[in-house]
Amino acid sequence: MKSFNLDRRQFLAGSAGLVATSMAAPAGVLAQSQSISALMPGVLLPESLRGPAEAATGAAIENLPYVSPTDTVAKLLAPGAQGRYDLINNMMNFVTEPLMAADALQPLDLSKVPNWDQLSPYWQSQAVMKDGEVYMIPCMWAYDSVLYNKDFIPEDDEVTQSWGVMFDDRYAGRIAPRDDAYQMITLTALHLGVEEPATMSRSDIKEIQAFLISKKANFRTLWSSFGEAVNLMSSQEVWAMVGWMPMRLALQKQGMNVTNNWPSEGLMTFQNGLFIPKGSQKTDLAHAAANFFISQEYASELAKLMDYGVTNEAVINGFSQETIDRVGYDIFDRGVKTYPYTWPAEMDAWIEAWNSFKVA
Amino acid sequence: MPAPRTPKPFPGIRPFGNPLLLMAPGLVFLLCIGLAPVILTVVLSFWRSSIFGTTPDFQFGNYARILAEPVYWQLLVHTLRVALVTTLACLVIGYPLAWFLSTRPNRTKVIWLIAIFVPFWISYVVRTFAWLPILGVNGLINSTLIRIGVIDAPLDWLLYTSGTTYLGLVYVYILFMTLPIYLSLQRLDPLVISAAADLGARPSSILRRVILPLTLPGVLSGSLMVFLLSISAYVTPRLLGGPSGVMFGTIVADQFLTSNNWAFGAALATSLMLVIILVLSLMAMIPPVRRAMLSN
Repeated sequence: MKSFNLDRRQFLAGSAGLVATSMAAPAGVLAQSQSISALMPGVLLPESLRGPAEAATGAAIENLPYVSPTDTVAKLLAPGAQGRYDLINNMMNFVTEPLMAADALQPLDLSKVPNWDQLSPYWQSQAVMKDGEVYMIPCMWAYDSVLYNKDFIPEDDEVTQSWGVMFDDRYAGRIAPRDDAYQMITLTALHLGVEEPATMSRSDIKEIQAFLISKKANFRTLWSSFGEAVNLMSSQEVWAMVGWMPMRLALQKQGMNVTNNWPSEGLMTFQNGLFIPKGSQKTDLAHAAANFFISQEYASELAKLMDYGVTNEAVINGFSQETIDRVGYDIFDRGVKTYPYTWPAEMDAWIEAWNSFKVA
Repeated sequence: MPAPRTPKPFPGIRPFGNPLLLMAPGLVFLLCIGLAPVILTVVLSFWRSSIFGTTPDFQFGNYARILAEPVYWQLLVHTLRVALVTTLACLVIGYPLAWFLSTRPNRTKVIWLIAIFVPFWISYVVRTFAWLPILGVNGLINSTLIRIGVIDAPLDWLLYTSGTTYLGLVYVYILFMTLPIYLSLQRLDPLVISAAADLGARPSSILRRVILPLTLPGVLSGSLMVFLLSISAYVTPRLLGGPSGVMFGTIVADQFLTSNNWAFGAALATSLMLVIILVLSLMAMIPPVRRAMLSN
């Protein structure tokens, strides 16, 4: 067997050579050794987009474990959190108010985000601004509705165009709500005629709780993750459930005869925004990454993979009429009533009501 | 008369070094890794939380809320019931299984032990998921029953009921009951059973008066483990239990992960811990249990 003998002199010479080589390496190679810490739902950084995102940023994107909008706010406002995160992509509806009130974000330098000019005027107007400076840039939007299997629930049944399909006794035992206090209480409140669920009183919440308990026998089970929900529908364990746009796409790709409703009481919508927390030491890289997440390349791929709505004007204009009709990208234009996600003042009471429903 | 001397635990071996120093690594580990999170949880339970953060304080608001809201008591009772029934079911199934294992010839015993262990090499979440295609409306059991003409329509109650929760929990935790009982049975001297039989004891009497008392430490050890694991379970009930598949652990997790109310979550966890201590203390007052706990 051949062996290698390396004395101290040779080792030092070799090491010096390696150092010299690395110093002479092109900037791109060095850039790859850099990284930024991001916090965003994994679904917004799919593997197929990670490579292009990192190439555009000139750094690796370390996406730290994402839990929820409230968890994100808690992480950013925690003592000693400054400088821990470089770029966040989160639900603007929930995080804007507490983060802006805490002065936790830094204004974005739009000269470093040239793709800002590619945003549609509507989405530019939705950016979070203060004193003439932009703090959050919208990068995607979506709605949540009821997904239902047309093989079992006829499309022309009027109840499909209401949140009421979740509670209809004709489909008892074949319905799956999401195990999520916010979403379930909101849609139930909307169905029962509450215009502003987020500001409901405790007695209103008790009424919602009683109604949910009265309908509990109609529910087959509760789901809490993407895979679990898709499996419930594809195995025909349930015929209808509260669902997300990518779930509908996944089920349709499996050949399921699944569509979604346009609840007359108000479709639940949300939008995600990109922002840089105060204290980030890598703002140039964070700006570069943010620039990619509103680019044409990212937006078109995200729409293709997930059906999510995007904010890049060229991509929006490039959708075919068939895609617009199928996905519902025109909900704002055709006057579908919407209810933007709004954080409730009494969230603890909401969670207690939901737990009471589950225990009942 | 001088008191009899306690026999040395390791006869013939001379002790060396300071026993306290020798125990130090273990004690430090126990204090830092074992007790520190528990102490922190108790301290945190007196703090204040909003959805956007937790601040140090010393107040009883979190406990007052637990006492005032019936939902937490109902859930606690429900959780205790689930844990107790699961423990009893594991005992009823696990004891005969352990007996079966301990009475196999050495050659086949290994094969049986491996067969029982193999499923536990897979994550319990995955094993829990495996019940869905078995018990679902279009699952293995329903399809088979329909195919052979036993039923016309799928049986909905096979899945997403409290019965399925028990099935899942027993399946997941049965090994924790079987193994300690098996080890107790292995230590049981067969001559003791022979002697009882020679003296005219009937089989039921031998089981009741000889075997069960001698294997009680194994039964207690297994029961304790299954009870503690079941009382804090929340994945299996949630996946298999349907709309009612909620346990106390679920709402504790909700406080940490959804509403970001760490202080209240810590108060709930501490309350559960106190209830467990109370249950175990009550159990220790039962004479045979007490004897088994204090015996070697």
